[in-house]
Amino acid sequence: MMRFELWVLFAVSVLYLGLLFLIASAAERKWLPRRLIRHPLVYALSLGVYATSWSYYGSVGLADRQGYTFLAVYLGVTLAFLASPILLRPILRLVKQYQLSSLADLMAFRYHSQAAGVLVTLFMLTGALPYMALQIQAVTDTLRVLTGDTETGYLALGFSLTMTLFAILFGARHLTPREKHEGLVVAIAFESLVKLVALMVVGGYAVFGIFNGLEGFSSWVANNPQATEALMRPIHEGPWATMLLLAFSAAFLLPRQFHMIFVENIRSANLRAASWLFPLFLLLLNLSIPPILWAGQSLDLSYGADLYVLGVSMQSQWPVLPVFIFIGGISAASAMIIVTTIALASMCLNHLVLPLRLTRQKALPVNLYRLLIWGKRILIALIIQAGFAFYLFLQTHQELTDLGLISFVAVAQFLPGLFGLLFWRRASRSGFIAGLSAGGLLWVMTLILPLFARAGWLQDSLLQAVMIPMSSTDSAQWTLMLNASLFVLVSLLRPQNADERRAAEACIGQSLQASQAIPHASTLQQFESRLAEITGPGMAAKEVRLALQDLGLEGQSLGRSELARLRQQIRHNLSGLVGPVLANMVVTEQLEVDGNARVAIADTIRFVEKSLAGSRLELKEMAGELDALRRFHRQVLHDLPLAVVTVSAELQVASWNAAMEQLSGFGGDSVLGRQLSALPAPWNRLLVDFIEQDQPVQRGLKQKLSDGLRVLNLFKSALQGRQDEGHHGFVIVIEDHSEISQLEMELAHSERLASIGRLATGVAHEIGNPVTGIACLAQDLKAEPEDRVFVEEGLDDILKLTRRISTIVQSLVRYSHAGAGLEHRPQPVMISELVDEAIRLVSLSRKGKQIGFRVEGEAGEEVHGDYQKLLQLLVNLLTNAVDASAEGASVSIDWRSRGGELVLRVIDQGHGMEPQQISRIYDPFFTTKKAGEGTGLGLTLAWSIVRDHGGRIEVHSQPGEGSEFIVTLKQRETAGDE
Amino acid sequence: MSSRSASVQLAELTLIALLLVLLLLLSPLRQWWAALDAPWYAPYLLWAFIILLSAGLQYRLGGRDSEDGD
Repeated sequence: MMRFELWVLFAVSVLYLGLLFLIASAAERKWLPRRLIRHPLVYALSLGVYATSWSYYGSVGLADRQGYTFLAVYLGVTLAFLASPILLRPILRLVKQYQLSSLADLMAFRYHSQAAGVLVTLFMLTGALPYMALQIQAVTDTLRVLTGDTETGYLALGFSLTMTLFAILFGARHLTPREKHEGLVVAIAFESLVKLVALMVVGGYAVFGIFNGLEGFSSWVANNPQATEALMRPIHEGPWATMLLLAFSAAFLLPRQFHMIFVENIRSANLRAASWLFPLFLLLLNLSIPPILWAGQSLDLSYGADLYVLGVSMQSQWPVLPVFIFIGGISAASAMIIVTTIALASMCLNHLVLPLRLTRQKALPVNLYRLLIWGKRILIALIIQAGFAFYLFLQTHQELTDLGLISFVAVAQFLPGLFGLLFWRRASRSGFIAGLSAGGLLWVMTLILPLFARAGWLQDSLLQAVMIPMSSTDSAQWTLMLNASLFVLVSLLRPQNADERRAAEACIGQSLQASQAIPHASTLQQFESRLAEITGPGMAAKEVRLALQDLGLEGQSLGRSELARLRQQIRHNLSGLVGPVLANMVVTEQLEVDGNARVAIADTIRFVEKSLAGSRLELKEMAGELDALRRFHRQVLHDLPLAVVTVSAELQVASWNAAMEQLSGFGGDSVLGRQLSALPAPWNRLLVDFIEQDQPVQRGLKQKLSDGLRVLNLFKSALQGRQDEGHHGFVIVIEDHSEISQLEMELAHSERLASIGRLATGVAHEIGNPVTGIACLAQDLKAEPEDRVFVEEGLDDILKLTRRISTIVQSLVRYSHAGAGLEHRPQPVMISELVDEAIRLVSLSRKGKQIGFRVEGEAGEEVHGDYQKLLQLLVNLLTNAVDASAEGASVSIDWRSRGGELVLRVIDQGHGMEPQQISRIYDPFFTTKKAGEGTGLGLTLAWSIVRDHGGRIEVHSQPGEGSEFIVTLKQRETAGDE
Repeated sequence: MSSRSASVQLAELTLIALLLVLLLLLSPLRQWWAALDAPWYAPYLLWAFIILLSAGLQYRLGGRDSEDGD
């Protein structure tokens, strides 16, 4: 018989655990590639923590006693992962969203009760102890077989102390669930791989070493049909269905499973891959079990079937094989103990230690972080030693499966509560506590007390009287029946309170209620000082900073909605540290809500949009129709070719459509919910100024944007609520007028050039006459150079004539000067000068010379505007008047000031217009003149100039009685003018 | 709207798959795959079928499910 020295096995175990620690450190220090650490296969393998010593050694034992019933332990898991879209993914969503770190956190969150958390923790703890005892027993049994040493007490102690050290090293390094133990995940995945390879190697040895190959194995199976029958029979007769149910619940409710599936999940998408990869791992792990069992039976090994895995390997010639198998067993046991204690320590801390401390001292210790990390370490040590104590108390040999099943029945008690959490909104705290307590009590009476009685230390006759010994599967049926019935009955009889109802809605994912909780605290300093009263100043400052980082609000001014979000985020982050119940208590007491504060409409809109997009809630019938209508309207607003911004009454951005995104250059998500004043420049000043001014319209606002100068027209309207509510905010429409303005400029220029063309004949005549005069005078001067008087008079005349030419040329140059681009320089303009200049220009034309101009008005009156444009306005009006008038007629121009405005009239006695013509005179290219005499743009431009100056233009005309154009312009600059 | 109906569809398919598997595992159909004279690996074949079903389900609609992600 092969024998090994204890110290060799101990050294190999410590070396192996050291290697694991190295792998974990390599992952934590990013020495391993990130892709590998986050790979779905690593995640799926890490879930292999499910396969403990029970699977590794005990499966063969269970197969020996109950045939293929052992497969139910894994088929149940496969079922749970098959149901992952409706079972595991919703739980993962909750765990991530609310930073929950254990099943106790989840139940305490859903049933809104510290008592629920305490009950779950106590029950989990009690349920896990037999399972930990099982691991210690498996390791010491294998050591006994390998060393031949019968004294196992110190072996078990040594193993549990080593485990304590490694559990602390692996698991008590980070505090919050968002700092994942990547090292732990990779190390546990590696352990799963070792388990798998070890079992496959033994399976391979059984087939090829013991049965001499596949042929030998097949013929053994064919010659021993009773062996296959023995495996198959229990599927029909045994507790198949109950085992499936127990494994189904254990798959995700055991503390270690919950921890690895949900708390250590780095990427949600990994769960999808693990839903088939993990069951596949279990299948491969169990494929070797029948060959090993049959090899052990054919060899007629002396130890129980629980140790066949080791026994078969010891038949080989290579001593390394049993050592490798022993290492596989160490993997199975250590993974279970490490992960279970980490999960239980965090539960005990959040639900037993901290609440007790808070009830006594009303404040958390000053250095909470330190307490948390040391508390976790001490609890890990205590829990492992409790498992060791449990093992010692039992002493007499227990079947591995029996101990494992006791834990399975314990966690199955959470199934009704979990069903309520996921699917039944009416499930209440009282129902959960009543069901779990009754199921738990019955579990103790049917499984735990008989276990102690078998171990021989239950002498009390009273306890023996209440003990009801039964098999694990029977106990599972009775406890679950009692638990579920009470859960449903009490939930129906004792209704929920409002907090529970809210938590239930959040769990089922149908909550569409925006957070109303605007805190009293209105500055970060107030937040910190209020929190510091419980957590100490250092931690308060750190938590506020972390929450700001999470929300991306660092360095920004915070409005009421941001403060409400900050409060919510602090609650989530604290929940990751101290559990949801305590976090809720700290935040509710220290950051009280301002009952009178109203939630901004912008936040409500954003919340509802987000919730509807990500909700599991399917809106039906009328609600569905309304939702479709809402989406349609939102889309209309979004796709409108005009830039639209909606602003709440608190001046927060509630919508920012696609055209606005294009104009501003930044997207809706980055601005929604922000204060207008916190927007990037120049939009902050531009929009705030526009909202504050009285005028609902602002035209021709020139604004430098990233892509150049833009001309914007802004319109606003208050969004009226119901009569008693006042207004909800504003809708602002922004029209980008740049292209039209540019076109108008170009048109105005063409029109000016066209009118200069029309004036050309007159100009030639006007300049030609003085030039002829100058030529005659020059000839006369040349003829009589001695006559000094004549020469001086002649030169004076020449100067007069050149001044006349110069005046004409200057007028023309001034008029034709385009004032190109969008630059617009408003200034005070003397109206009499403007009128004189316009008359001078119009008089250059042939027709203009034959018309008399009557001017009447105060000489000192001014208007506020652009000289060039106003000149063009007058030239256009006078040209029309002249063209409409008969030769020798007169055109009168007058102006007067009235209430800050200047009213200027241009009246002719021409042919007048028909009413249908009047309605079209401002249309582009409409003209009553003959072809070639007018462009049809004169009055269009006149109207556009008046509009740009914020003025009005009217016309009164009768056929045959002439026309009267009345232009009203502002005399002084007003707010909003440029 | 599409992401929500995709997740609802996924939930429905999951339920159907779950019922089918429960039928195979718990109904008298057991007489067929766990017959006393069936090959010893028959239960493993059934198990592999369930795993394939699970993989198909995850990937058929999983890619369109918007709830996923970090």
